Amino acid sequence: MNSLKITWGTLRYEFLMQIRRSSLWLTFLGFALLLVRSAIGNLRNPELNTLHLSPLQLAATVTLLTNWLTPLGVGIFVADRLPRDRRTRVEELLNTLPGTLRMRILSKYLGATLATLIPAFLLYLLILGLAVWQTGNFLLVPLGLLCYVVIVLPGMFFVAAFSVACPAVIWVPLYQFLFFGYWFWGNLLSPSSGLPTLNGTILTPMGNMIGSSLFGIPFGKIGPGPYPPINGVASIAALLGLAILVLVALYQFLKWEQARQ
Amino acid sequence: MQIDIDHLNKVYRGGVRALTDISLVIPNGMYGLLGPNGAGKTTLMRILAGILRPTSGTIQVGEYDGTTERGRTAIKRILGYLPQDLGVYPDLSAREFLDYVGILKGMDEHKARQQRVEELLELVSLADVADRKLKTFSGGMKRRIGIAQALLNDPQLLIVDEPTSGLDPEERIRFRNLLSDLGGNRIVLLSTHIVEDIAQTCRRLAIMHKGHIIFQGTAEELVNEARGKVWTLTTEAGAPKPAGDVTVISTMNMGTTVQYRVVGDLSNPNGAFPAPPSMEDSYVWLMREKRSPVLSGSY
Repeated sequence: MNSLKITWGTLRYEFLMQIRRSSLWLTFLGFALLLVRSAIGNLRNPELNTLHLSPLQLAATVTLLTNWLTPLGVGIFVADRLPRDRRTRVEELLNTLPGTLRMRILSKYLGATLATLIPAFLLYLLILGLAVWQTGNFLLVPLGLLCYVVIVLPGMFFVAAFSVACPAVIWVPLYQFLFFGYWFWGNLLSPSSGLPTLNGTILTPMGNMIGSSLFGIPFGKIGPGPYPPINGVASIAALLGLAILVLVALYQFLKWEQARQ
Repeated sequence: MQIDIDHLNKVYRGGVRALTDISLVIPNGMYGLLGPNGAGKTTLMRILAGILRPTSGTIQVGEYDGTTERGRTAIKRILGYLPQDLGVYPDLSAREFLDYVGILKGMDEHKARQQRVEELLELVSLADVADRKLKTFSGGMKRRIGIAQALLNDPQLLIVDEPTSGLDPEERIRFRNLLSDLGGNRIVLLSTHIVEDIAQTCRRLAIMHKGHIIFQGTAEELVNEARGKVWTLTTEAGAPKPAGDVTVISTMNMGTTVQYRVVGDLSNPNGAFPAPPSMEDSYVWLMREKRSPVLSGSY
């Protein structure tokens, strides 16, 4: 039994089942209406020109302009993938198959996350396209892709890991509600507001810390800077490391649950 | 290959005792597991399929020890399982679902797996609708997909739990015939509360009641249990039902008279004719008696 082939095969189907959800596309279409309007407003802001941003910094700024909303979609739409097996009663059958629990968790996590990233990435390309149109600078395209990988993806994988794992122990709608609240508290609440928040720390999945420390973006209002590049590296490592840890914890929990039956 | 179950017990959390001291030998071929709802049949199926852990006792499936993790994984490789309540992914087509299950069964060669999927779709007469989404399938069609997925890896052990519940008579007959064709050189364990399904397909069977085995043996031995205990009698319409320690199996209203078929000891056998017992009669007789320990003919 080739584990890699099995994981890849099941990943394809998890991807397929997620990408076929019409609600996913409708939601990101709604996000697009909000973000396009907001992006145009920001890109036309005269204050932007006074900052004399380099193309890389501009690309990173555009990335952060979209990333306050799209991870919400990832978190909410990945949350029901594992409980779905129980809801559709497929779980009993899956538990009799020799394909291991580890493979199933990994393929579900990666398949559902990558599928949900498709509309998110297309939305990002739209905003990036607007920025290219506004500035006339085609260099923004490859730089924008680089920024997406560095600033956006670690946070997306972090959010997706929690969204796969947490619904194993709490009710999906409750998790989605709490996640919604967490997202705004942990990413958009300014540290200078006086209230405790994860915003401005290396655990901010929105990518503010990564953007500020690795790309020198003066925006973000995450508190006094500048932040050394090591903060950005630490943020990427923390987000991805926590994602892995959460998935391992999920595996151990499900194994324990199976043994208890 | 055979299955040896020895002194198997299962107590759920909360103290619910589902299986008590179960000992069974299940040889190759079709084997029936009969019993009412709540008898423990599904629990036993799930333990054999590796979904549940037994509280105590031993299970040997061929050369594999079903009480160890390694043994359970090995059994899963030779297992085909059709659960009582089969769940499917509604947005996948029949072909996609079978392919998905085939991958999880370790069939990692794409072409071979595709070929096997097509063969099984033909076998269960679903080739024409293979690209339709499963959410559009009727109950009978889903059961056929269920048996198809169970057969993907050509299993040596096939467990089918209540496969004909809810099916119409034609579907039920088709299913039974399909299962009988499969019983050649593998173990097919058919669990059901429908006596007719066992009568039409299984030479050997066991009967469960409240977590105990109350009978194991051949179909003939089961039928013999009620020999001399089955009667037919006719009464006037409106007359009281037959008296005595009996269970009425059937009542046929003929207008001016009523024909009864009963199992048990009639207090007044005058006017009653002894009838050759059927499997259903014997099942009812055993349920009445709720005998324990096991009534064992041969295994």
